[in-house]
Amino acid sequence: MSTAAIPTAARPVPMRYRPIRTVPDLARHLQWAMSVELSTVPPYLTALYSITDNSADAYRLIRSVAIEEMLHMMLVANLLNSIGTVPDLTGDDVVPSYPGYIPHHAAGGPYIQLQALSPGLARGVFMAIEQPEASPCAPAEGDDFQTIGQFYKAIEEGFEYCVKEFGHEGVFGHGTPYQRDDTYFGSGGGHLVVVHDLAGAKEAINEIVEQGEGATHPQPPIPGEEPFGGYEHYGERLDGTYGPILGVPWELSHFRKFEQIATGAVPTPDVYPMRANPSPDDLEGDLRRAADLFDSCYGLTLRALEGALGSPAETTDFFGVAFPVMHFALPPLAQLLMQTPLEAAADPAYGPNAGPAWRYRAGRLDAILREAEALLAADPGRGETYLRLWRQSLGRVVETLRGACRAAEGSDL
Amino acid sequence: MTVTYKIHPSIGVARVGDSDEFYLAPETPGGLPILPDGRLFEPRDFRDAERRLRRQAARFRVFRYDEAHPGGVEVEAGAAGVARVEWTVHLANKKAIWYQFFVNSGEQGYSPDHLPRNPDVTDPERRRAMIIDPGPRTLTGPGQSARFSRHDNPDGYPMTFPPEGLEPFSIDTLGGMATDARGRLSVLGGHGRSGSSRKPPVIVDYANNDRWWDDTADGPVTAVLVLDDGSRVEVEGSAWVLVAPPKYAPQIENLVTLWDTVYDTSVRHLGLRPDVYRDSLWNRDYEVSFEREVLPILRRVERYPWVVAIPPHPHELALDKLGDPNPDYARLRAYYLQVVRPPSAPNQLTSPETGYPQMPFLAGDNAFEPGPLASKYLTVTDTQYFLLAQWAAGKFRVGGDAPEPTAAALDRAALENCVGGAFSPGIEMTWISRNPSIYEAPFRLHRKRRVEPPLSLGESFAEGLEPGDAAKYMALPWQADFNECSSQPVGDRWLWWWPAQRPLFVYLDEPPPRRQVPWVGTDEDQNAADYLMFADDIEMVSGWKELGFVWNVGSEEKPRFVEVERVLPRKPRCPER
Repeated sequence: MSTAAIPTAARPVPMRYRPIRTVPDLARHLQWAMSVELSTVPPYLTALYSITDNSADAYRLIRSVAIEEMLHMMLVANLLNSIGTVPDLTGDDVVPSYPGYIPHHAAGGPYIQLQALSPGLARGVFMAIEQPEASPCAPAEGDDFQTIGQFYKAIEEGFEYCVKEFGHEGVFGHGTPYQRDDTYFGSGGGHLVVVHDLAGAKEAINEIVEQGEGATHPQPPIPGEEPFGGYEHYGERLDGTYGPILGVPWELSHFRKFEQIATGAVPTPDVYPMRANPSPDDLEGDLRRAADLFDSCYGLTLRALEGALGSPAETTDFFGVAFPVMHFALPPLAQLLMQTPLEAAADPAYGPNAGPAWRYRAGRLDAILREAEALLAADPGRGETYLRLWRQSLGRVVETLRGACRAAEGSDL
Repeated sequence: MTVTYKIHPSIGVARVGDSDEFYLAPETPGGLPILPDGRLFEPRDFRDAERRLRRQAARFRVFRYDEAHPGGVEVEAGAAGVARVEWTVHLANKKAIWYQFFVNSGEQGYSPDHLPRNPDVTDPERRRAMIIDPGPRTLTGPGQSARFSRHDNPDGYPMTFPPEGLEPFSIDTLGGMATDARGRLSVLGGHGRSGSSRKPPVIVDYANNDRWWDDTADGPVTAVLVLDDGSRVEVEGSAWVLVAPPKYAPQIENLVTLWDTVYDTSVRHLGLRPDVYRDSLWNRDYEVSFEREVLPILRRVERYPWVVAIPPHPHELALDKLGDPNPDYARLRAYYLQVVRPPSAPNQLTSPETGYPQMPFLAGDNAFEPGPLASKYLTVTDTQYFLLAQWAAGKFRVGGDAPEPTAAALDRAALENCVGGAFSPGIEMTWISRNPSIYEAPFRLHRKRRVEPPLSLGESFAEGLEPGDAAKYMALPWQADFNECSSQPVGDRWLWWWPAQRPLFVYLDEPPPRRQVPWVGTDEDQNAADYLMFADDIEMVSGWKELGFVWNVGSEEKPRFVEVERVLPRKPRCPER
């Protein structure tokens, strides 16, 4: 083991840690894990959408992290379904609220605010979320964890204990048929694991921990130190060039990606001057309705994901609704808000501007579409330049929602 | 309908090998080579008993088109009134006297400051002597053979060959030809021998090296039918043979194949598919065949990770969903179309929508020269993009395709196993394949009818191509470019060239966990001079024949490609720490 200085994060283990001893307790922890993963997505996406130039390296890094967090949500959903519990993505105690702390973190962990990207945000909040374990030997931690890696270690030990105590059937005997292996595609790393036994559970947990926060060292490895792997990823190599890299989690860990932004190794691109922790209450009239529309689309996404990851409605809920709304409706809507000054006379280049609040709003898909269509037809009264942006953005949203309506016809969304 | 005869494949591809033995070119896209004795091809068949690399012969057949056979039917010697087939082939290599290859400059005509190769040789007689031209050979019936050798000159043709005693390898032949019992013709290329008359031989450039020759070649393949009554019928549709470097991953296709490129030219300039493109208009109502026009592209995407170090996960496509007309998947298709770099944006690395690198993540025609000709990244062809866009928009059908006639399938297979871009310069043919002026019909090169020695130092598309005119653009010697075109730094990224022809990384056939190792050089050290290529191009002049092939030991649906038949010892990895 390394004799390097122990980072301050490695405080003594809280005495409150109670190991997982029952399957319901395992499910409870996994549902917390779902909340934890979900809570990271809105701040990351807010920082992502704040970047004005999609071709910036920082955009690519943050987007890859956000998408991998969604993979982690899907992996946790599979773990939950494997032990017979459907995931909850819409409950009051599940949907995160901002500003706030990471759920179930010891002492709250980093204080998460919705902010435009800055090196400080990357260092102070994002790196703290993805803080690696102090060492590979850091103990497991349940509720009141210090690092997400340690929290997953508790879940892994819970699986081991329960299988030993209650047998394979006792743990995996009542699995639902709702696990998925097809909802994660595109350029992110990692893959979806369908879980039917302890080995599968461990593989799924490892997939989460290795990819993200849980790189086992906060320092780069010595070249040649790690086992030789496949060239599974592109990234910045230890020699400073960019290209295919060996199967070393460190270069690809979320912690490392945010560190590159925090240190300036990857330049901070121009961002929209969004106020921190935006709220629909900042705005009035049609503009407020646009902010509400974003929250409605967010709520719709969560309901559709819940359906996709825990009901037979899978295909339509995911491919027909959740994916199109995430990919084609949320970004233009968020960026419309981020180019909307809070004060009508203010220059949008300087702001402060509005932004997405990520508050859960209920509402049926067809009603959301009607609201989007009404807004598309409206003139919010911010001048012609703004009106063009308004129509371009809402036009894309309406088109996406119409497609979702066609796909989801007859569903209960 | 009148009766016409045509040779297929219209463009056949032979490949070099240092062995005297040979196998036949695959006759299906991504298919295995064919053994002359009919046995199923196995990995050991890439080499002969002395482990020399076998050559790939291009096999040609004559097809008859008439009322009853609009798609053509093969003509066999000794059947249906045809006594025998007389085949004539004229190979030549004009690389040493053509212009220097310099990315895409020249595609729109050569500028006055564009130098020829061997520019110090200005006397036309001396320049003509630098063409490798063994003259034509004719076989008059089944079971005959001939060689394009300096030692074999049946007609007293004024042959030109490079000086004897080239180093490291002298050139005495461009290959040979043989007919089988059924009257089909096989054309063989050279032995991959390249050499220079300068001593010591030095390679200074990826594409242009003066006083160098190689034994690749190209030229027309013509045939005359001799009928039972003694009358002679000239086969109207002549063919062309290209002699190229080996294809080291025969079962893996390029994303853009030479067939796609020639098809695109034929669609946009030769009126091949008025239902797709006519009078400068794309038919937006055209219904794409998923199986025939989209699925092959998606399958190529899936196979690249076996020959180059790219993340496998993004290259695993949900083909069942992508071929499902269910409206649920409309946005999934739209998402994938965003990933494809439009042909109009060859210098655009990332998608304006997602910020992610667009595909293909391969170097373009002009990856390294700034200016108006810059074309940094490869794109699919216009026609490929149109077909993908139609599919993304939901205008596609699944099933219902009539089987492709054998003759057309042979044309397709020969060219689908070739590189269709990037043309810098490429492997078999370069950007000249995009020039509609070189064709007399889709997929059929316009052959100069009366070729008299000596061969021309120039060219006239109006008169047609002479032997050597289709491939004279290619790198000289080919091994120089073949060595260097591994990875290409563009901006802060590393791009690849032709992984399906020239692999970059391969998997070894070993128990899991399986490692991907560089195809050519030293394992693990990414900064080694011989990591993805030999440190000096001249090592490839002899090293190419010792490299391994990539072979599917899995199934068609669940492939696993591994390296086989490598002769060159792989340098040991760093010791385990």
